[in-house]
Amino acid sequence: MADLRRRFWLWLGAVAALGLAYGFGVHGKMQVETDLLAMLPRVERDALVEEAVRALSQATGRRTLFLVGARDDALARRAAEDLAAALSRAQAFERVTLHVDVDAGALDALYGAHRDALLSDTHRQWLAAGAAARLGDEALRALYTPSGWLRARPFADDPLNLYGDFLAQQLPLAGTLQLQGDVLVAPSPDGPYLLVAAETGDNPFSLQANTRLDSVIAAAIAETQQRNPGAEVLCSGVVRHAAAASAQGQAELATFGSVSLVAIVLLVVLTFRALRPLLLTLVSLGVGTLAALTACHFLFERVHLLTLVFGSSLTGVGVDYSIHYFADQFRYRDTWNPRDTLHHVGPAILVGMLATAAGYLALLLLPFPGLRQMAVFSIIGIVGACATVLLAYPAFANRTPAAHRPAALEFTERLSKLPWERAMPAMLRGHGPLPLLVLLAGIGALGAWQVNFVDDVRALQSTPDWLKKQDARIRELLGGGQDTRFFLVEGASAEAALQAEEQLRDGLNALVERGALAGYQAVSRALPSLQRQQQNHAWLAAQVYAPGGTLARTLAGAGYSAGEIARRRAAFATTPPLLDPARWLASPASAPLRGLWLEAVSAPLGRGYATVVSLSGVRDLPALQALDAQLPAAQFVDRVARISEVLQRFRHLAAAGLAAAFVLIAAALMARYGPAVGLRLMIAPVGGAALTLATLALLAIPANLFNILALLLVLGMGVDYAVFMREGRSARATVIMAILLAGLMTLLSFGLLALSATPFIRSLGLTVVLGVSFTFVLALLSSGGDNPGPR
Amino acid sequence: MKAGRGVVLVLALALAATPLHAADSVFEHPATPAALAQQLGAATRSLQGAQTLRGGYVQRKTLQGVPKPLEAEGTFLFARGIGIAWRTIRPFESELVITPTDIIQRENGRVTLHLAAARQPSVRVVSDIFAAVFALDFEQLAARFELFSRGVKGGWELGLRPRAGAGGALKQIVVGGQSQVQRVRVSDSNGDETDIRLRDTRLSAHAPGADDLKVFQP
Repeated sequence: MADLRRRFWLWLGAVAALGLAYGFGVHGKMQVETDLLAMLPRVERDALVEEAVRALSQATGRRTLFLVGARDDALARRAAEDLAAALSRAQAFERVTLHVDVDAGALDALYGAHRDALLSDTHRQWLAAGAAARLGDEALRALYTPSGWLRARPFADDPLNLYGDFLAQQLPLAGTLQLQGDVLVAPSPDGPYLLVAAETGDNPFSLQANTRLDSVIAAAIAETQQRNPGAEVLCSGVVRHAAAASAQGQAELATFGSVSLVAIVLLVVLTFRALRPLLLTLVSLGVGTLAALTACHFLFERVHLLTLVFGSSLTGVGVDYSIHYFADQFRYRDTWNPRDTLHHVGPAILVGMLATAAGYLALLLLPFPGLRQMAVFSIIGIVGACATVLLAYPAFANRTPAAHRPAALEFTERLSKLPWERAMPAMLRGHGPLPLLVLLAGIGALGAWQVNFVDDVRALQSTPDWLKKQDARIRELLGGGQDTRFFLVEGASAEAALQAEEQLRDGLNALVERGALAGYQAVSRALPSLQRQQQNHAWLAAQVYAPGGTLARTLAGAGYSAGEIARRRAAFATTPPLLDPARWLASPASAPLRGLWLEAVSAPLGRGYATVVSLSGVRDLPALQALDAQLPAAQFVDRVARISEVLQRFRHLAAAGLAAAFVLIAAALMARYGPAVGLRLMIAPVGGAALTLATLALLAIPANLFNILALLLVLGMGVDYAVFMREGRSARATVIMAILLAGLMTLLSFGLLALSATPFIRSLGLTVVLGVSFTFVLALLSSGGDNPGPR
Repeated sequence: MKAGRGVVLVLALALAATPLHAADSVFEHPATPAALAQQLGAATRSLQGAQTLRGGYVQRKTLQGVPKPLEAEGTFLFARGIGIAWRTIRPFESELVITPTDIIQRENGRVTLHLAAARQPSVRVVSDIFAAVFALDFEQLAARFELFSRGVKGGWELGLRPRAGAGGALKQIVVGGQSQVQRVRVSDSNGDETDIRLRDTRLSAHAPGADDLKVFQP
């Protein structure tokens, strides 16, 4: 009794400490994360690329785009004004933009002093080819035809349109967007769509932030559509995806949790017909969950919502120990007492828990933050539940065994008397377990070979259909949005980075020209390298402003006096001040492109200067990859492809780990029970995995890393079925009942995961359901011979 | 008291003088699309129903610092919903075709300039000016311009001022006419003026023929 009391006080102390830690450290402070990127492993070998991806993802995450459309201009405009006003009023966004401030003043303040060293890409091409005369032809044409109104600046100010064309190149336009007045418009056959952009200061992936933002957005859209019947509002942004994912995750968490809970209550009440086992079971699961939440909170900065969804399976796994404990009373009906139970099933419970934990531990081995969180959550959870069973149950459990015989026990007793109970054992006695094992391993290998493995990032994502449709519509209206792929350009100095970017841009311009790429954004378009500025100036001096050059001829042709021409030539600076990065960065005019300047990311890594060249409308991937190969300072970053590569590499690792785990467990079982029994005990786990793979292959269900990881979990849970049946062969029906009930709970909780909207959680759930079912049936069939019963 | 009365008198004179002074510019008379449709609707009914307009034009451009105006002349073809073809005959042959999506300039049958509206927002500004000239779609104009109007001897004047941010070199446009548009004056912000007079304009309620359409093909 003293021992029991010590156990109880130990448990109570631990639970009290846990309660305090949760109450003061976790409750109300837990940050729930919804960003998928945070779950993913670092897939890039290069820290700079990884950080660049992170910086860009943060920047895009803060932006939400709206397209407000209607049949006619005026309605679309009114609706867009209403939407912008409603969004601003909510004060949830840092900035809401409808009216594009093409701030001519700011552009002029930045570039005006440097105009004698600036040229548009087109004019550079002409001057490089020595075709300055074309500038003059265009200028004269502009005087006599309406094409003059295409210019940014009046003739007198910029006769050859040199500065004007450079400024026109700075307009923040992409795809189909047009600047109409002061708003950006995407035209469509159904009428114009006006662009409204909203930006948050917050991290959009925090559950609290994105839920609030999403409701602000929904309210603003509803208000706009109500006030402007006939207007349509489309919205796209990470916030929406994050909010949809959160809503989905929270709904699943609530459903899965309550279904599991109801199932546990029913199962425990029906089997044990007493309140005490039910309360204790709920306490053990509560302690496990609380411990898991607390550990995750302190170990990880933020707990991912998907961790919690996956964690809902904890109830199904953690309830096993309670079932095994209470089932023991049906075994030694006459002499049973709570203390002896510890001796009967304590070791088996501990071994079973350790085997399951070992399965989860395998998830910890991969450098995959999301899986690690899930593993930690599950391991701490089952340790908490198991500790409660082993430490607190003896003190609290009913003192006398229940008087009834549970229906489940009747069922398993009948089951163990069926004739096929001895069919497989008889066969095994004849040939030994090896042929069957080889056969099963063969089926497994065939299955693994036939399964369609798809290592695709889409395994990780789930987007509701309505959101997918809306995104697709917006992409269509905008003529393809920004691509997830980009170029990262590096240089030891800012000048070197800009020069490298200009080399890349020469290549990209050619691709744009032949339609292989819709467009791109790059810093050097707005901030040419010093080298290029000097070259521009030299070309201008030699071809345009030289005596008798293009300028003089053009002005004379328009009727300007010789004096006026001389005055203009004299105004051309001999050594113009050059535009440097510091000045550009300090100007409000650089705001749209500043996010591409990654000095703040590259400098701390000791990598000098880095910039991003973002792409839109990629139509020729090999051409871009070729540019990557040609230019050492520029690398093409294809995040999605890299994630798929990493998922594949991890899958191979996990498969090797699975094979190794089988060998290790077989060795351990053979050492404990001798070669013949040890191999026989392997039939269930090996067959479980093999038949699961074969089923996936037969049903043509695409598989990935997560199915393999689930097989590791199955192995962890399945080994103890075989071991329990072996150890408990003196009371086979009771043991089978306990395993059956525990297995049903596992099936239920993972079966619920198989219904998740998140593909990889679905994969884990489905595979565990298949694997546990096969393992249980095979354990049952192959262990019949252990029954010393009526023979 | 006397001084006070004097002030009142001056004020009254000034107030009385205001309408006289305002008569100098259409930009003293703000207008709404609905009001314009009412005022000019009757006068321009035949224009509103026309599918094509064609005729000749003379353009005079006055540049600051250049004593002699630059003159050009040619023909035009407006096809509702399709675009405008602006053919310069003098001082050189050149053709500018403006559709909602493209601007194409041809010289001797060779394309010398091809701008997609998507790439060049000023393409829209130009096509808006032409829409102002030919279609007189007040609702659409109101989206991009502040509108003004007044009656003048024997006709009307329509004033267009780009809304904030439309920017560029354009300061204002004055369109004048009777049953049709006769004159368009475009003022640039630096004082340059372009004065276009249309003549012999012929309206047709029929859709343009195949020959006419050919010119709009890119």
